[in-house]
Order: sequence, then C-alpha cells, then structure tokens
Amino acid sequence: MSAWSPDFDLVLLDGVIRLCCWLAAGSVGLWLGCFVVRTRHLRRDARDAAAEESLIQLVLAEITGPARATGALTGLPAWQQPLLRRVFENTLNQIKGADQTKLVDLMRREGFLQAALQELGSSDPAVRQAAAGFLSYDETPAALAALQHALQDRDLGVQLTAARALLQRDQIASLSGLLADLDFLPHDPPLVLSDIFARLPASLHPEAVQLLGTALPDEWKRMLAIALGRNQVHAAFAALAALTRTGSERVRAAAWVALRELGDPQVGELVGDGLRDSSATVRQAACQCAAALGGPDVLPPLLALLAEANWGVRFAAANALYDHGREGRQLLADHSQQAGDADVGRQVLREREREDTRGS
Amino acid sequence: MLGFTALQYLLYSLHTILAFFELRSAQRRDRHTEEGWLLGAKSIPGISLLVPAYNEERTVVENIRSLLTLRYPRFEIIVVNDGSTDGTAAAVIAAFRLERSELQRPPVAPCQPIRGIYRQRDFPNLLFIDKENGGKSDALNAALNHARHPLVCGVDADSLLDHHALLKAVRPFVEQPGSLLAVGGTIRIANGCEVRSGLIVREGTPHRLVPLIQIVEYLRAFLIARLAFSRLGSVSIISGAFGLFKRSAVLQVGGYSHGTVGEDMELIVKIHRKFCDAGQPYHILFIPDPVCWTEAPETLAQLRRQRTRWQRGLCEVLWLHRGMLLRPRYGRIGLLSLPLFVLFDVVGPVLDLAGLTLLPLCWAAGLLDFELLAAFFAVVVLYGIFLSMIALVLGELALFKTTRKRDMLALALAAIAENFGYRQLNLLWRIEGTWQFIRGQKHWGEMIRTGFHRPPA
Repeated sequence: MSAWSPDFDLVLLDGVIRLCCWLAAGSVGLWLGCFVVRTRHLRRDARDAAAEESLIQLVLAEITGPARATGALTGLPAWQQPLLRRVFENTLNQIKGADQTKLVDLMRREGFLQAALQELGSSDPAVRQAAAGFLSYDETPAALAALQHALQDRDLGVQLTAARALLQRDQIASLSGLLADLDFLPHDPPLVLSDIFARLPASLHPEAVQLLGTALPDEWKRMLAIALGRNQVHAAFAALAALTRTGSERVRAAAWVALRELGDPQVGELVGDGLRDSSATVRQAACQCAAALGGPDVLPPLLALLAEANWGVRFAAANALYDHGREGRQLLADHSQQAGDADVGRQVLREREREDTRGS
Repeated sequence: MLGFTALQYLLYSLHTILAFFELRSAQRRDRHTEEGWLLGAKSIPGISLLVPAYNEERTVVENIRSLLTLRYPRFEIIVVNDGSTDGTAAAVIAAFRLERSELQRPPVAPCQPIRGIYRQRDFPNLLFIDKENGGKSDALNAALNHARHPLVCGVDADSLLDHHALLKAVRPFVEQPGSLLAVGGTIRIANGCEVRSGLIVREGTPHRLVPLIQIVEYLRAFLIARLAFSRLGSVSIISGAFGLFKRSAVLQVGGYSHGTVGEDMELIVKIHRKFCDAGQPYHILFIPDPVCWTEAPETLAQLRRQRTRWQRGLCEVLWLHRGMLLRPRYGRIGLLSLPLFVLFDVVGPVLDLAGLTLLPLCWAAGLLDFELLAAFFAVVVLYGIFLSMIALVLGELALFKTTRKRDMLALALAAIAENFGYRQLNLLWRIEGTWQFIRGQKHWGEMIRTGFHRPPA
C-alpha cells in the first residue's frame, strides 16, 4: 500500500501552513510591539515617579512653606508639565481651605487654569472632562462661564463634572433647565443623577419639590424623593405624602424611605395606609417608617403584618414593633408565644435583645 | 479528523476577533461611571460575599483580611466552614475573636444543618457560619440564606480579590438595572506574585513551569473565549472563584445545586434555562477588568486532579441540561454555547488525541506521507502559538500594569513551550475526566495549598 499524499492536498496544506506561519509570526510581532512599548513605559514610569516625588515637595513648599519659593516651578522641562498637572490634581483633592486657595493661585500663576479653559475646546472628551474638573476649583467669572458652557457639551462626563462644580457654588438657575441640558437617557447610569440630586443647593429645593408632582421618569422621581428626604427638605412633605398614594410601586416605596429620612412626626397619620399597600416592597418601606415615626395607631396594622406570607415584610414589621417602644415589644413578645407564624417574631426578639444587652 | 481541526481553528480565530472588539467596548463603557461617583453614591447596591471554605486553614484568614479591605461602600462577608477536618474554623474564630450569635434565617436554599453562627462587633460586616459538610454548593446555599444584600458574590476561600474588583463588577448592575442577572470577572494566577496584608502588591511570575503555563492558559480562556461569548450574548460559565449575581435570581432557581462538581457553570445554565422557559428578558455579562487572584496547582499530579474534576463538572452540566441542546427556545445558549462545549470540550479532546496518536502510527506503518505528518504537527504548534501570543497581547492591553521585562519574557516562552507536551497532557486529562463522569465518579480530589507568597521579613 502506498502512502497517502494526493497532490491537491499538499497544495492546500502548503497554503494552510503558510497561513499558520503568518498568524504565529504576526502574533509574536504584536507581542514584541507590546514588549517594546511596555519596556519604554517601565523606564518612563521609573523616571516619572522620581520626578513626581520632587515636584510634590516643591508644590508643598510653595503653599505651606514660611516663605514662598516663587519661581521654583518655572522653567520645568516639557515632559514634567503633565506630571506637575497630576501633582496639582492629586493635591487639590487632599487639601481644603486656605491651602487649597493658595494652590489654586499657584496653578493660575503657572498657567494651568488658562490652559484648562482652552482644553475645554479639545476634541478628546477625556481632556475636556479633566479640564472641567480643574476649572471647578477656579472661582473666576471666566471659569464659571466656561463651566456653564460645558453643560451643553456633547459628552455626558464633561456635562456632569461641570454640573457638580456649578451646584457646589449654587450657580444653577433652574433644575429643570439643568436636567434638560444633561439630557439623561435610560441607559445612562442612574447613580450619577442621584448624586446630582443629593447636591442640590437650598435655592433649588422649591423647584425640586414642584418637580416631584410632574411627569418625571419614575427612576428620577424615586432618586429625587430620597435625596430631598436625606437633605431634610421639610417643604417636600406634602409632595412626598402625595407620592405614597399616586406613584408606581418603586416610587411609593422611595417616598416612604424619604419620609422616614425627613423625620416629620405628621407622617404617623399617614403610615397606616402604607402598611396596607398592595405592594410588599412598599409595605416593607412603610414598616421602617412606622418604626421611626409612627404613633400608637400603627401597632395593630404592624401586628397584622406579622401574619404576612412575605418573609421580608414580616421581618420588617417585627423590627418595627420592637423599635416602637415598650408597648410594641410587649405585643411582639405576646405574639411570639403563639405557634405557627411566630418564627420571625421570636428571631427578632432574640437578636435584638442580645444586641441591646451587649450595647448596655 | 482534519476537517474537525479546521473547524475548531476557524471558530477560535472568530473568537479572537470578537474578543478584540468586546475588549474595546468594555474599556469604552467604563468611562462615565467614575469610581468616585460609585463610592460616594448612597444608593449603590450592597453586596454579600459568599466564601465557602473547606480545609483552607492556611489561606482562609489572609483571604478574609484581604476581603475586609475591599474598596466598596456597602458589603458583608459570609464565610462558611463546610465541616472542614483541619483547623479552618478555629483559625477564623481565633483570628477575628468571633463570638457565637443566635442569628437565624429561613433556609430558602437547601443546606446541611448549621452548627453555629459567629460574628464580632469590631467586624460588623463579617459573618462566620460553621456547618456540617455538604459540599461547596451546600456551603454557598448556607451563605446565600444569610445574605442581606441584593447582590451576592461567590468567592473561593483560596482567592484574593483586587482592591477595586467589586466597584468594577457592580458597574453593569448600576448602568443596566433590571435585566442583568450576573457578571463574571477574570481569574488570574497569584503564584509568584507578592502578597502583603492579603493584597497583591507586586505582580510576578512563578519559577515553576506548570503554574507559569497556566497563566497563559487562563488568559486564553478568559480574554479570548469568555470575552467572545460575552460579545455573542451567550455567557454560559462564570467562574466559581469570582462572580456577582442578583440574589433574587439565584434564589429563583433554588440556589446552587447539590451533587455536582461544576456548580458554577450549573448555576449559570440553570438561570438561562429558568428565564428562557419563563420568557423573561435577562442578560449575563463577562467583563475583563475585575480581577480575582487564585493559587494554581504547582505539580502535574495536582493539576491532573483539578482538570479531571473540571471536565467531570462540565460533562455533568451538559448531561443535566441536555434538554437545552439545539433547542431554539434557549436562544444562543441552546444553539451555540452548549453545542460548542459538547463539540470542542467533550468530543474534541478525543478527536485531537486520536489525531496526535494515529497519524504517527499511520506514518510508521507507511500509510501516510512524512510531509503530511510534519505539516499536521506544524499547523497544531503554530496555531497554538498564535492563540497563546494573542492572549498575552490581550492581557497586556486589558490587565497588566506593572509587569517586569523578565516576567513578560517568561510568559512568552511559556506560551511557546505549552505546545510541546502540556496541551497534549491536558487532552488526556479531559478524556480521563469524561471517562470518570461516565463511570459515575463524584469526589472532588484534594488541592494542597502552599499559601500565598509573602515578601521576606
């Protein structure tokens, strides 16, 4: 029998081997490229680390030293300019008050703030965002105007950085205008918006309260409600109370969370409705609110919730009873003596009493 | 046989291209959600870390210390001692001065009886559960029952998480709330790295060839195969060493299944099955950046035990969920992901090894030309080098930050060396694992831990 080696197979095989050779050689070449770049980076990183260390010392000497060593930072080689910028960025985040003001002055003297104004026109969104971050420390009218302009940037990151800076200085005239500028989409990170709401200055609170009653998307409304509660905006009470009845399930739950954060005793008159809500999530949130603010009227509905099918609600109700004071605890203890649905009651009593004993 | 090899290589090439695109998209996606926003945000979802431990006396304390230092605003660590026969429980209780607690939670997911629950006021987010032995799934279920947060993250007790891993892994949950059920991250090998206070302070490479080659192997598996499947929307495995799940979704499928050694893959496939059956929209992602470090086997004997176990786990899952194979109602998982596993991970090793042994025999018997034999081996080796070098390039783009020159060279040499013997051994172990599955073997085997490398005092 002769060996199997038909001609056409050999031609095909030759092509396949050539292809594999090219692939292997190409991948090795790519890796070599990475190797060269990495080697350069390692060398550069070592050099930069040493230079950055000395720049930090120079900057600290400039802003905290007894006598200003003005001019120590001028005449730096071009490769050290980005390092100096990084030192400024890092130091700005770490210091406050008069030292921060001195640092901003130093940055202005060194021309970094003027450069940031120009960088806002860059085509690279990362550069624009960094520039907006830099300008957020600058109190000059030019910087404020540039940040206002950055609110209309096409990049969300730049817009948010500008918005955060302007909110901090109470330079936003209208919350709805800001939301329109930001043009949030459903796929944008909702936490970012939550952060914006948490930073609202007092001047925007009336408008924010008004917005709760409008057709904002549910997710926004939910975050706005919680932010107003956490910021103790008492004028929002009526709007939040209305939300507990009219919003979607998640919005209603958020409204109860907000009311609890607000800590207004009037909530005791409403919380019974929340405890009877059709949604388990809302009932759970209302339980927590009842624990903090409810009067004696909430005890019967809380006790009724101990027989719920939903474990989370039972647990929240038992905790609420425990937190309600002596009367609530007695009711919980009586209930936990019964068989059947008393599992959660016993568990909460055991855990909480143990915690209280340790605490005392 | 040659046709099968050609098909295999064609698909691997396609995976490589998809992985490049997915890596680029993943790097772009991260830009808007800065870590600062996430850290400062009060409404970020809390995470319960589920840490099953069985005979992990040497590494468990260091691992918990590392987890306690994670950069994340709201998380708890639930360590479960799964009836260890060594001093795991005593080591944890002593190291963290834990005290017995009366805490009880309803057993939503089934698990063995709990002997005791321990906590300490100084570490309010650490809970230690001591329970009867029931296997890894059982321990994870016990932890799941006690989890308080909406997201749970399975972490092996022999693994170390990157400082920012949770912040990176939670991003997709923040950005796509609702339909996202799970996110997997990359597992890297810690052998040779310098660990201080439970953190990797310097990346390095091990001196031994076996773990060195596994670094390349892991990069290939995570940065080519899983990224490509993520791009195709058909992630069917998230490593048990590090994966973030929506707790409600895990409970909806009854928690982790008992009696399987591939509980991580089984859970993901079960979730796919449940949600496809229910017609609920959902998705599962793999993102390359959150990194978990694990200790790899140092010897061939340990590696063989691990690989045969993995293969048995894969076979079990494929057998358990054979009803999903080639069924259009299960979408890309049923039509693409699972069939590819059957083809390339169960049938493939048999065909590959048959090729590697039969072709030289045919040549020796004078049935095959030497040129054909040499060409076959050249293609196998060259393509193997191509895949491994591309994995190193992807690793360089996505993960490496502080690699030294000598580490890079060592990895490149390992990428070439693995084609001469290591891959062939792997094929053999896979066939052995499949055979063990057919014979009904269930044991886990033992992994000997040496502990993470610490700098000299």
